[in-house]
Amino acid sequence: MGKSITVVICLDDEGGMTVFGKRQSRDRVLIEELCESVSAPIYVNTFSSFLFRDRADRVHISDDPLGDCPDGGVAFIENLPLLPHIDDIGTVILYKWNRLYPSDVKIDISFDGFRVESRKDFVGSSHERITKIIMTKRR
Amino acid sequence: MKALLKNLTALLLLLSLVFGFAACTLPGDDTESYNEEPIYIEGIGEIPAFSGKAWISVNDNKPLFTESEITLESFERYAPLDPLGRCGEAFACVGTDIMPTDKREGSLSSVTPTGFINKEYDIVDGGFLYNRCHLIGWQLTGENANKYNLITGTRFMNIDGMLKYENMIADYVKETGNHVMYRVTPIFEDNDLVARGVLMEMYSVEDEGEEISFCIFAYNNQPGISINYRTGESKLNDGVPYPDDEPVELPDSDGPDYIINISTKKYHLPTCQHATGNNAREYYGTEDELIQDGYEACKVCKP
Repeated sequence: MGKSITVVICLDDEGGMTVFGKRQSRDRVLIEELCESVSAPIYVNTFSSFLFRDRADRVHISDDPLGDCPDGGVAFIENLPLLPHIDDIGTVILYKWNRLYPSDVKIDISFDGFRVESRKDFVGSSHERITKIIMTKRR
Repeated sequence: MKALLKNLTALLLLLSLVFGFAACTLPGDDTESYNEEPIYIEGIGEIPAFSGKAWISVNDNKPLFTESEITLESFERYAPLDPLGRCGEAFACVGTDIMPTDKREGSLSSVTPTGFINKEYDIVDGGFLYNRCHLIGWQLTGENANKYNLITGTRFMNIDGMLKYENMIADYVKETGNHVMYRVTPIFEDNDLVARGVLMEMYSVEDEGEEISFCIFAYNNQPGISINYRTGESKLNDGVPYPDDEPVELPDSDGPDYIINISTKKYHLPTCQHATGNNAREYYGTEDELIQDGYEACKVCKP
């Protein structure tokens, strides 16, 4: 029995994650919402730690956040493949920008096999509507 | 094979439910063939022919802004129309102070960009091939029916090529309060009335390009449609390119009517000693049009 972790990702309307190594977008309210909604430390790599510079107490910086994230832990991923860790992912917290951005890297897993547990919209600091979807893996 | 198809269908259905987009034919499918010539851009070099992708990075993805052009003061400038009535570069330093705060209102139909011979196709999302396409998107500077900022652009270029980068810039500026240098230059070949594409340069100033730094060419193409760039006519792609004939002739002219300075907003006689500098542009048109666009006569040459 492997570990079961929660992965947090932000995607545009086409499943895009990054373009030329840069993030598509960011939003202060989204980061605050995430920090308030999970209690475990959030595993991030150096690239993503920038987003949490005002909430440094909430993150654990790692070169391999998906590998290092413990059972029951949370990993916020912007620029890493998820597929190699698909067996470890028990829950996905997906933030949808509800926008089209350029992308050359898109999400590499499908949500086939995940069940939508909840869905809510909120207003971001620079986005009119961000949708938060929580999905858990079907057992 | 059936199992594979079943899984693929399920995946597409799930993606459409989660992302809210329907499964559709993607540009660049192998059913398309593109055999156009490469495009040449001064300062950039040769751009590969359209292969179904909406945009590519050029110049190693490095924008061409000079140090003296980069500023923390918001502005927007639009080049005058050339003798054929075509737009030139649109240049802005985008900041929150010049971004629109209201909803967009008003129609663009009062402006007819060159080559705007529109036609409806079943294979084009939204129906019509062409949009009146903002060089600098409305959401960045609030310029709507501005004839210096509207070109004939395919739906594909407008949405898949340009809008995505405009969204990225707009949301970055709103989130950070920072500035983004943004220049969009339509690329015309010879006397074509429809641009082959646009060169889009963008650079976030305060963080020195850390979050925004791109040099992109967006193709003014539409998958499945063949465009006559000379005139703006179009047809379903039947594999027979439009003949490269009947060039549009330049109107008879002894030179520009005025020289304008797009920074100081003054207009000069072409012979004026002040009609020089980086911001000087040739202008073909009437004095009334210039005054209407906010230009003032030079007090030295008194045009």
